Amino acid sequence: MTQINKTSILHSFLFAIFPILHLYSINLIEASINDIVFPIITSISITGILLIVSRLILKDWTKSGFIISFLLVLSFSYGHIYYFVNGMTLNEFEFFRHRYLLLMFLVTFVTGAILIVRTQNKLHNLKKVINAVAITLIIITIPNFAFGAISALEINENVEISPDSIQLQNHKMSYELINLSELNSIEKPDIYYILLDGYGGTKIMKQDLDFDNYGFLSELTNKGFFAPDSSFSNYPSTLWVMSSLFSMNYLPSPENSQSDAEYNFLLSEISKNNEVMRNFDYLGYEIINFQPKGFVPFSSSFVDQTFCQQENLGQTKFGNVLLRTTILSFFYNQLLLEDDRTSILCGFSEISDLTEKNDNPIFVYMHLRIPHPPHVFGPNGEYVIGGQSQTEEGSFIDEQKYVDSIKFANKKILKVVENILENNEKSIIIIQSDHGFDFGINYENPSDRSLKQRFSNINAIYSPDADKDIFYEGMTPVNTFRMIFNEYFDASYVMLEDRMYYHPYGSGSVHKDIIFKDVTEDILN
Amino acid sequence: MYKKFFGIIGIFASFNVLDAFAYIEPGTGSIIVQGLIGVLVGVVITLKIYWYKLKERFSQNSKK
Repeated sequence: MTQINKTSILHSFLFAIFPILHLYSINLIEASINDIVFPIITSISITGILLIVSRLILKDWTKSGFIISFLLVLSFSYGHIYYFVNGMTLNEFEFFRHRYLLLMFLVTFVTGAILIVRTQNKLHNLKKVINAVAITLIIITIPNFAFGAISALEINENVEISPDSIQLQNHKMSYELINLSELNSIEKPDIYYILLDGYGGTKIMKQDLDFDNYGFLSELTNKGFFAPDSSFSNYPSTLWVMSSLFSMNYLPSPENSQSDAEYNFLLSEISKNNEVMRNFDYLGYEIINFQPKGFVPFSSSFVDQTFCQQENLGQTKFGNVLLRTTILSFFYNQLLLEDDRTSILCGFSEISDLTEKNDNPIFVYMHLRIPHPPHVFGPNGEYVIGGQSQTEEGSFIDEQKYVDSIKFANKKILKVVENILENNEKSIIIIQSDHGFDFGINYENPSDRSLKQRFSNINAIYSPDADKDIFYEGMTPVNTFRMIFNEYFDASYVMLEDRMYYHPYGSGSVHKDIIFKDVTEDILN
Repeated sequence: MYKKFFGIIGIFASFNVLDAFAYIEPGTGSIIVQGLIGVLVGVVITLKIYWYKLKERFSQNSKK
């Protein structure tokens, strides 16, 4: 075997790491260095293997290097090109779908590879040029790293976390920790919080989707639940609702925030140090968490157990976006949906046994991405993966599949409730959704109808021994745990006024220029 | 030297991961710009490599 001339394959390895470094460099505040370790090792390893295979076939390191570099450039640019041209039509024909784009990339690669293999020219000079290009690409990411590092350090230095508050610049979230000393529980019930992501309000679904879900509410009511047909959430997006729910407070006003990254950082800290888990931790509860990775961050000092948690590259936002920019995006979407299905089924199946498995009282947080799209279940749990169920911005598309997902969730939830109460009839069960549905919403300027649909939610609570008068129609998530702590642990939280706040939450604007607008009157009138 | 290196790595590693609230920008625009800069560098280096040959050819043509 001929000796490797390092310059023949250097550019291949540089092209293998450049897209990852580039993505990290422009998202330095939001991503962590841990996010890039696995992708870089994988990318370098795959490149090495491809080079060796190619060399074995061609008996030429230089040509192998060019072919693999060409393949890498095409692979890493595929997702960018796909998302750029996706939806464009040519005489009403959707030309830029995966199947056509993949074919174009295949033809381009094969043509390029044949030209490289057949060329009789000496490639010494071309090698110099390509190496110079690859080195340049790596070098020009350095300024991004420098600017990102400075901003990230500034944010880290500016956040002040004390036991009773978190402050970043002029935004402050205070906790009412005084109540902790008043918490006095004789009997600590197991508490289950089940989040059904995107589950709309029954009344609105009847009016706007012609779907009658009253039967499900009746079954819950018969089991002793408080389950109104009309209730609303405080915010339109999962992360804001859950941060507010667990902090038992409205989110601080971001009007004067220094930057979006700073505000998002603050919300992340608020969630990690949330008051609900802090209270349960103090009370000696075993805190059990199940949620799709990359949703609400909780401090590891609070969470004792997780269940049904799946680990893969796509489960972090960085890995997710990285994969979507590559040629693997086509296969990745399919794999992700399989994961969704498995994980939801696992959640439904595992949650019922948690009481038996734990000696201490438990607080269980289970976040299920159902009936939120992508829809992966038919009304009886059938396998329905396939087809588009959300727009590029994220709004719902398929009404029938949405309703089918609700029907399946209802069946599973009734079974879960039955099992939990069989194991411990004193358990508290909260079945709540973070928001409703949003078919055809205009994110920037939503109609009152769209606001009602999106803010509508399910809010069903089973709380044995509690004074039923404490529940009221129109109770929003921000007050859920205030009520629980007051009723069961003699706390004295003041119930907050139920308000609703909107900010565009489509994927392009959800983290940008966040200014919440009070839309309570628009929704309730 | 090693201290400095690990210090820098430490700074990056200590950045808080706010995955849930993170908006990861795919960076299509900036990768196109960086790609164009790379291509430009490639063109400049190609011209540099072949400059003398081109110059020679043009001067021969003009002599004819």
